[in-house]
Amino acid sequence: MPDLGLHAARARSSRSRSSRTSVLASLVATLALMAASGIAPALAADPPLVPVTVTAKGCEPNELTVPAGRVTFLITNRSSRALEWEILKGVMIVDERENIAPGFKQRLTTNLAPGAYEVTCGLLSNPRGKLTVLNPAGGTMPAAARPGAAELIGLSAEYRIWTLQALDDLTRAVAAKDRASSRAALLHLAPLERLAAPQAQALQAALARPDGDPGAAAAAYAVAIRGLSPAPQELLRGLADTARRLAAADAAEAAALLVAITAPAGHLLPLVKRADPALGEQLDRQLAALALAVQAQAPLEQASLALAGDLARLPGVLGLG
Amino acid sequence: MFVPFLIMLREGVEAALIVGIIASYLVQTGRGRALNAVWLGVGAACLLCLATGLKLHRAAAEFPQKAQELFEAAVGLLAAIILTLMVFWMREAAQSIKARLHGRVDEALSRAEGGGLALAGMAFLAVAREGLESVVFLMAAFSQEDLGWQPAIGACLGLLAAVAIGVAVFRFGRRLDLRRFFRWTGVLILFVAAGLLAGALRSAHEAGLWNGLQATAYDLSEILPLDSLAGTLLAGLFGYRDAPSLGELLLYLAFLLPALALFLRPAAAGRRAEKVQNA
Repeated sequence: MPDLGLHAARARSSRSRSSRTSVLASLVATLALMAASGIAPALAADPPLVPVTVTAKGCEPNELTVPAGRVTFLITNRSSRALEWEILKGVMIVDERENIAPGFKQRLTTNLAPGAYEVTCGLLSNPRGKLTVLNPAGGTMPAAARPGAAELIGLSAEYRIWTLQALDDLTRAVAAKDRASSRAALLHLAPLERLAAPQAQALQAALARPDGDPGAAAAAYAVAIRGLSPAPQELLRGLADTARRLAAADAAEAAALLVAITAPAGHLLPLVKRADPALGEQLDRQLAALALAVQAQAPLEQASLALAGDLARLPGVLGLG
Repeated sequence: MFVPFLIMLREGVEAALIVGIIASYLVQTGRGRALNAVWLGVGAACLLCLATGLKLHRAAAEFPQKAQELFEAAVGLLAAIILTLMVFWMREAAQSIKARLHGRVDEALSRAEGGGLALAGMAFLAVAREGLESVVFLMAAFSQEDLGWQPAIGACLGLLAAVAIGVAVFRFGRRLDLRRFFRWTGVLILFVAAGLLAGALRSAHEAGLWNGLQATAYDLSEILPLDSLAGTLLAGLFGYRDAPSLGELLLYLAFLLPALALFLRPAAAGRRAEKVQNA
């Protein structure tokens, strides 16, 4: 074709040609950037390779299970028609490879979130294949429902504020020689006690002696607690421990221990409800029932142990391993 | 070998059709010198595709399909708009021609700022759009060890056939007289534009932008599959799909029917006045 109509081309003014060239050059640059930015992520480490064959009847195997994250599908077309292989979520196309000719193999590398998907298998009339994408825990719960790193840091930060307030209460109660309030304030920090056990025991012993001065022990305990920066897992374990302690607590202790659990729960439950709505609701109900039981001085053992069991599940539910 | 031939034929015809029509428009309207810009656009697009192919090949990477679909959706929409504007604009221009006053058309073309530039850009985008799709396919074709050179030969033949069709469109267009040329290429372009528009919607869906009206409108994939010769040619010329979604079909018809009616409506005052003059 290049010989057509070029006879008049030489008359072109150089100015308009250069403006044209610059526009085309910028178009080329844009497209090259587009291509480059899209390709870069594909160069990372080799994702797992999942072969799938499409025949005239459908996909083989018809049910695929892959881990979440980047996966490479090696699609072999054994049908007699050119093929378009799509991964679908409802009507949405998650990713696809077009123009796979009969007898051809093509690769499709894609990044999949946990969940259930469908794949097209050649002809529209063929049954669709099932694609299950598992999260590392082996479930299909989408990772997005789990709290992000920022939310977990937020949870720890909120709990630190609560901790410092409880320490202030403790210092004030000890200075005022109010032993009941001192004990209550100490119990408010029960989830952290395990992490500062020697200092906690010393303070408890000092508070138990009617004639002693607990001031030095309280100061040492405050220093130990202030120095902690518990990870969310440690906080969750502390909460489960506290619930177990509640089972055997007397009336005075029970009220304070329940406060120790419900204070962090205010920030924790929204995250749990998003990751596992049923469990979140159940924790809500258990805490409400325990509050009523503590008020009525009813037996707490069964409800407390059930709560402890559910709290112990939280690290898994929140993806904290 | 036959399917690679057909795939390249389809991608090629879609590009060649637009380039051929633009080229014959330019020559018909005495602006053959603007062809230079068109070839520049075609060449730049070929280089882009070649560079992308080499780069992907060297990186042993896959073409990011979503980026490609996004690009195709945007270009398809742009192409449909420009082609439609061009057709209606030339229709008005043709009506104002008494006898064979090419100069008037030329004037009309040059009055519209950057008309030549738009056409060159169109040629570039048309070739780049189909070319990038072909790159993906050719890369796969060349990596099929068990099939040897057959797919590559088929693909090259398909491309040659597409170029031949483009040249035929160009020559046919040049031989028609101006009025009939505008009329018939105009109708053809409206079909092409409707197909591009529906294709843009499909690409938007595949890029994840549009998810409505995805029910299958009809399924002719048993009777007239897209990868048969007839299906391929119909796809290239009229945007035929063997199993379009409802949204694609509706958009195709919603654009094509009013556009055709408007385009083919008898010219009112202009033509009558011309008849009187001719008589």
